[in-house]
Amino acid sequence: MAKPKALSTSDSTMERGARKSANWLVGLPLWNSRIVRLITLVFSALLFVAVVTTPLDLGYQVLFALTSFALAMVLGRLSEGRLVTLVMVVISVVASLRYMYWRITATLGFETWLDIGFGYGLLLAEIYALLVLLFSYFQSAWPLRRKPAMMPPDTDAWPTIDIYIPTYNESLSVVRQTVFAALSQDWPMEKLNVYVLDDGRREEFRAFCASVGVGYLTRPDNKHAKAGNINAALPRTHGEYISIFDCDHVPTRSFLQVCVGWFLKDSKLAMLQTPHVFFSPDPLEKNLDVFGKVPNEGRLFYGLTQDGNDLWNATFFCGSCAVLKREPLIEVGGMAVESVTEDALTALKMNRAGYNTAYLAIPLAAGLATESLSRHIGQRIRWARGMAQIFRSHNPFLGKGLTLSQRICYASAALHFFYGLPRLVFLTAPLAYLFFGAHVFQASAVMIAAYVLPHIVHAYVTGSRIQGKFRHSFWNEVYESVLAWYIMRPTLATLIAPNSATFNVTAKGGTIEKSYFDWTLSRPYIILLVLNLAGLMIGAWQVANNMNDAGLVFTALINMAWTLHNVVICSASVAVAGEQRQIRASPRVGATLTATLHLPGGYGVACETSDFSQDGLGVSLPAGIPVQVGDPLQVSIFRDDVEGIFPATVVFVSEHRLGLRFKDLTLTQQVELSQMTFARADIWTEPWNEGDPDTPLVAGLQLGRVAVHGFKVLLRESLWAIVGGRRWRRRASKAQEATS
Amino acid sequence: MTAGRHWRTTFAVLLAVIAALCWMPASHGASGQDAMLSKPWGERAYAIEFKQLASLADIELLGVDARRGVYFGLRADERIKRARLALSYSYSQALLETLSHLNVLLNGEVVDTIALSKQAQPGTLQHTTELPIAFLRPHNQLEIQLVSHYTLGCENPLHPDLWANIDRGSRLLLDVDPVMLPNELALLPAPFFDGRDMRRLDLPFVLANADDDSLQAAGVVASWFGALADYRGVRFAAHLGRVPQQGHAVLILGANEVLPGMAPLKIEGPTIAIVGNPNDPSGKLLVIAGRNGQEVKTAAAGLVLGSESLAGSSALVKKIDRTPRKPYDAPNWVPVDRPVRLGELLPPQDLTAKGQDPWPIRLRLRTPPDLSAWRVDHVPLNLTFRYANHQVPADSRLDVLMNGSVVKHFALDKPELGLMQRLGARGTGIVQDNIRVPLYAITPDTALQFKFRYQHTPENECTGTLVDTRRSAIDPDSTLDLSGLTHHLAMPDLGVFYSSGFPFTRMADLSESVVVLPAKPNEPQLSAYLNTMAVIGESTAYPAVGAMVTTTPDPTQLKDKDVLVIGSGRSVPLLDAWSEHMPGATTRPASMHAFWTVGGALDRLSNVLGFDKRVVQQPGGLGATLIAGFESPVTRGRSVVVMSGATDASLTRMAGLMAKNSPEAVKIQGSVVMLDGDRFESLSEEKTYYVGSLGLFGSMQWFFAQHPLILVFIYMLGALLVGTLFYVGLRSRAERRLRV
Repeated sequence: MAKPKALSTSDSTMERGARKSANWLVGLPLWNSRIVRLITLVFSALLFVAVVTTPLDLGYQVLFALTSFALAMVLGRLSEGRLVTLVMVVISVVASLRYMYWRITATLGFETWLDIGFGYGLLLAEIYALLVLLFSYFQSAWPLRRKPAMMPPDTDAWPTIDIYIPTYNESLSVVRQTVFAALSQDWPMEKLNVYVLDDGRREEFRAFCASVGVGYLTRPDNKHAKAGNINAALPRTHGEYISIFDCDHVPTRSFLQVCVGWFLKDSKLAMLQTPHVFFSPDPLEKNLDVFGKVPNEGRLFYGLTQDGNDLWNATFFCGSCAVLKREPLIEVGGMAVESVTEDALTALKMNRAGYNTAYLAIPLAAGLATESLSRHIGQRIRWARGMAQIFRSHNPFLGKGLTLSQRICYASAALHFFYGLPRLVFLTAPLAYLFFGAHVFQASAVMIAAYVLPHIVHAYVTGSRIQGKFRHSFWNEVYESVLAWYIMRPTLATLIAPNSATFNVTAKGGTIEKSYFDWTLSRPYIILLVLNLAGLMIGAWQVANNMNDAGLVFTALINMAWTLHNVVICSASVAVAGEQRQIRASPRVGATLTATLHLPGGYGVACETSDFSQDGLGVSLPAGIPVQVGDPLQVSIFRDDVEGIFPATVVFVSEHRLGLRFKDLTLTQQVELSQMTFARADIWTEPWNEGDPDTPLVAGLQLGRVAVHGFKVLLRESLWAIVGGRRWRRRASKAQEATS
Repeated sequence: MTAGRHWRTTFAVLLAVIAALCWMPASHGASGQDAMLSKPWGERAYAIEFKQLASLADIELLGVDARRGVYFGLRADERIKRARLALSYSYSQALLETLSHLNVLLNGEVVDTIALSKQAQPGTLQHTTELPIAFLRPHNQLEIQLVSHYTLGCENPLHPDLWANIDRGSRLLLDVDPVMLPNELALLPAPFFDGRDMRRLDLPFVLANADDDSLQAAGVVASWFGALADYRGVRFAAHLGRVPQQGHAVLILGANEVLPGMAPLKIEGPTIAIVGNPNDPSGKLLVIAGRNGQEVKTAAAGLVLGSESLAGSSALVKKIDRTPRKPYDAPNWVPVDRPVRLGELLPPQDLTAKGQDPWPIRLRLRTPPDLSAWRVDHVPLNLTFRYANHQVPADSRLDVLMNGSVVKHFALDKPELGLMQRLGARGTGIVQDNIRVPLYAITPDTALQFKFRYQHTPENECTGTLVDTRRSAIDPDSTLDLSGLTHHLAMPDLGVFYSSGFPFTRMADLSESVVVLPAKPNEPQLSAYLNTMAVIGESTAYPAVGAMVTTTPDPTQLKDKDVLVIGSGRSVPLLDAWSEHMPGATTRPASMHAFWTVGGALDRLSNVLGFDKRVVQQPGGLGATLIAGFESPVTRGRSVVVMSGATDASLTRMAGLMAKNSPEAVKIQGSVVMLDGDRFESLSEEKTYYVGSLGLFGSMQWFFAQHPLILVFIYMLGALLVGTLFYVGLRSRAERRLRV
């Protein structure tokens, strides 16, 4: 936001003043008294009873809403601090409760079965959304921002560690990098054992493990998939701690040093999780072309939710990039096998047994995102099923051993995955009126607007303030809508029969050789889009035919506004189905590293890399370096004072850039390369912290563009499908030429 | 309580007798009074017009065989010498004169037949019928039957040509002799009030001395007679120290008081006695006497609460068993502490309707006027009705009306039954429905009507004769539930003072009221007082045994009381002291906006800014004849109603108009009403205070609903406090988490 300078200086004085008063307020010694706190809480609760329950008629409600909103905005501008955030959370919660109170007490006098059906359906969806909102405020109330604990200087006191790399059907090229990075850990060699747990029982893997000197464990069957794989390995290794990496998660060399410190500090700590970072775009980022611009779906969870959970000692285990203590793991019976999300359930069991879990919001490993929408959806279905299983069979609200806050955090996580049906209800609710004339609210449209807008707007503003860095405004709806149809049935079915869910592996590391449109997956969204467009038209028709009835026009307009919002969301969901091609087998990571090119002539050129991958490097060069495509050369990469030299071939030349492909690396060199690239200690920190901050306006415009894009894609694909797909083939063959 | 119940039964019976014929003939009766030939005593001949007996404009007779009737009764203290019916009628010119005639039936016997011959000129005809005295009874049913045909062949029994019309100016002419009744208390309230007499009750009150106790006793008796007279209205003339020349009177006799011309009575305690009028051998005096003021009051209470147990010419009242009343328990008022059965309000036989197009079933609902519509939109009327449902023609219906406007409409030919009703149906022809009656439809005096109407089956001629056997009924167990409503009313509201005696009648016995009279009240002032008490008694149907009457008010007596001030000129010093509290008249009608809306706020703002200059027309309010209401200067939330006459005569006229149910009196509305000649004019609608309470919660909501900005303030205050609490709590929790 560009602001005049004079204003910003005055702002900063104001900010300083605000900070001072905030510090004064929270520093008051009277807060140390339990009684004072209790009285304040009861007093405020009474005030809120008045605020929530007092009915206002239209004019005063508008006045009330605008004034409170203006004050909340002013407050938000005063300070970025946590106090103001919490105050805004309270404002938002009260606004939502006020709406819900009014909603339940004043809008439910339905008269026909149609109204009753749609009306209560919408109400239930709203109650669900409110519950999830309240829980998410709770979870993100105070992100702990835990710092790493230092390891003792004496390495003799360091514990022994097993690194497990479970694999099933991933290719060796994917697993190799992880193994190399695991071997590169800054940890006493005698206290570190790396194991590849191969459920594929592949000879190739055994040979590779033998050649690099890591353990290779298999088992006769594949029962319980990954959880079973780990459980089978547990008795056969003996480290005090177990660190688990999915085979495509490459840890940095500092991973163990950074993570294990907390275990030494907190003897009850059973699990420490670090974020999952992806150096390749997930299908949404790829197909919407927002990689690096808009935080992806997982960012919110790892950036905020887990950090917030940590305060409540309710960090979930996410299956990878984590360290577990053997004793507690054995005590809870190894990895849980009752749910397809064994990881979360295992953490739940550890918490139940009285152990602590912790989260370190430092990216210490990175991996590949799922590369296609279908796989992405498959993966989310598994998570949703798993969490539904936990909700059904190990309900966090029941059973012993958890604190209330832990229960809320786990319930929130599980409940979150039931968004499928409510989301679809929201995407179709205005159609009940536009198509069937159902009155889902027994109140006038203006009155509804006056009551519901504070609820929504405060939730958006407060949400943007809390999550802005991790999730942009409105994107949540896109992420949820894309999946809503697909996770609705599994979650609901799981609620009825919790064991019906089967495990399906998330395969990664492939290519999409040509762009295509996934008609099958996008079908529900195309239907929703068409329905909502029809709703828009009916609404316009109603407006045109009832110009003299202001009430009817306004009702239609409000429903149309809602429908328009739904059109945008559905259209964005359709856009996701337009798969963009992804050629590179091993994705590149943008990174500026110090490097030297050793040219055939015997002289070296100091330069910097622009990106790297497992197979090659991109290099930024001063102009005029005489190299040709096909030239063999040597490249050095530096990490502090350490230099690694690797043979490579030039595959691409432009004025300032050079593409290199490594050539015939020995195993040692590959480990060394890994240390210089993927396993560098701080390699993921920058992409983790980059990204534009959220401003609702920008996010809205961005979403609008995405929606238009989705529209275009749909029109184009429909046209092609009609004309018989001649261009299709041409494009496909072109794409093949490009790859070969 | 037993007394109260007896009252109610008496009333129910009275109402039952007259309900079907003359629901509210009061307005007609009033004008009818003036047309009377003479007073009941004195002259011995008088006439009663039909319009006093029936509420309909004209009596219409339709069809081949139609009957309509009127009721009239004969007083116990009169013997009929001669009775005649002077009939004014008109009829269709299409009738066959040989076959068509009017029958006059007295108590079922045909006493006259009037041939309907062809007229030269259409118009109203006169016919006088001598009614045989032998057929007369105390209660009489006079019916007119039309037997008519328009053709000798087949005819449509409901042909529009078949009609006759009985003019409402038709009269009943009675010549009577007085009857010497014994001095027997067992006859009470006759002969002073005779329920069979449907004319206004005209009864003089004689006070030997106008001391406070006598006044109070007179007021109690006046309210009792007012209640008995009900719709008939009253006219009470006060006599100080002299017995009227003729007829009956009430005599209040204090300690050792003797009236000229009367033999001294032997008083040995609180005494009720009947003695002959020394001036008129057929007149009776109802004597309320005692050895001291207290005993006089006891005697009055004994009369009004226990008249049914009195016998002989004189009785001593031993002890009055007065259970304290509860607020709003007036026998005339619909109970608001429980659902009321319609069978309680009207006997079951009156809840039935006969015929194709019967007269509506009417219930008079008198409710506490201060029922608040705050947060309540509807009250449930759980209605069950039965009807013969064979061959119900299309468009037959039951309309439920409140004060003439439709609340619910049932189609009788195809009742819409809910699923549950179908499952639980007790048979066909029984419909049960929960009607949501809008609260605004319920006024302090509501006419609830059930109008059955069966369409006539269009029948061809010669398909048979009309047999009108339709029967319909409202189930007496149908309930109207006014319970749980709060009492809260913006005051002053003189409309409810006139219609319901509110706020004095909140306690049916006026036990929280004080009546302030001039220090030495004269006869006109006393008449005004007695007539006003009658109005109040009429609204509650309970005598004002708890009212305190004083001519020398002292502020401690007025504390926590509602005050009724009656005076003329400057006769009441209290009014001089309170003159500043008297509301002035505003020059424009009061705000159309409700008090708490934005519009109301704007109105008030313009008041403050002086756009709306008040012109106080009546400084002190003593120069004109008016009724004014304002909040008691002594106790907040209590009311004062002042009835002030410019002259004694105008004061009496004002009270007289109210007491005789003059149609002019319904204009008594707002906070100030002026009497101009015989017309009332409301000068101000301004509301300045509230009576009743919405309860703690409701009052809180009420307050904030009018002060949205204060609501915003407490909202923000609460958010700041709770936000701070959360901050302090979460921060210390985070510290604990990281300290471990």
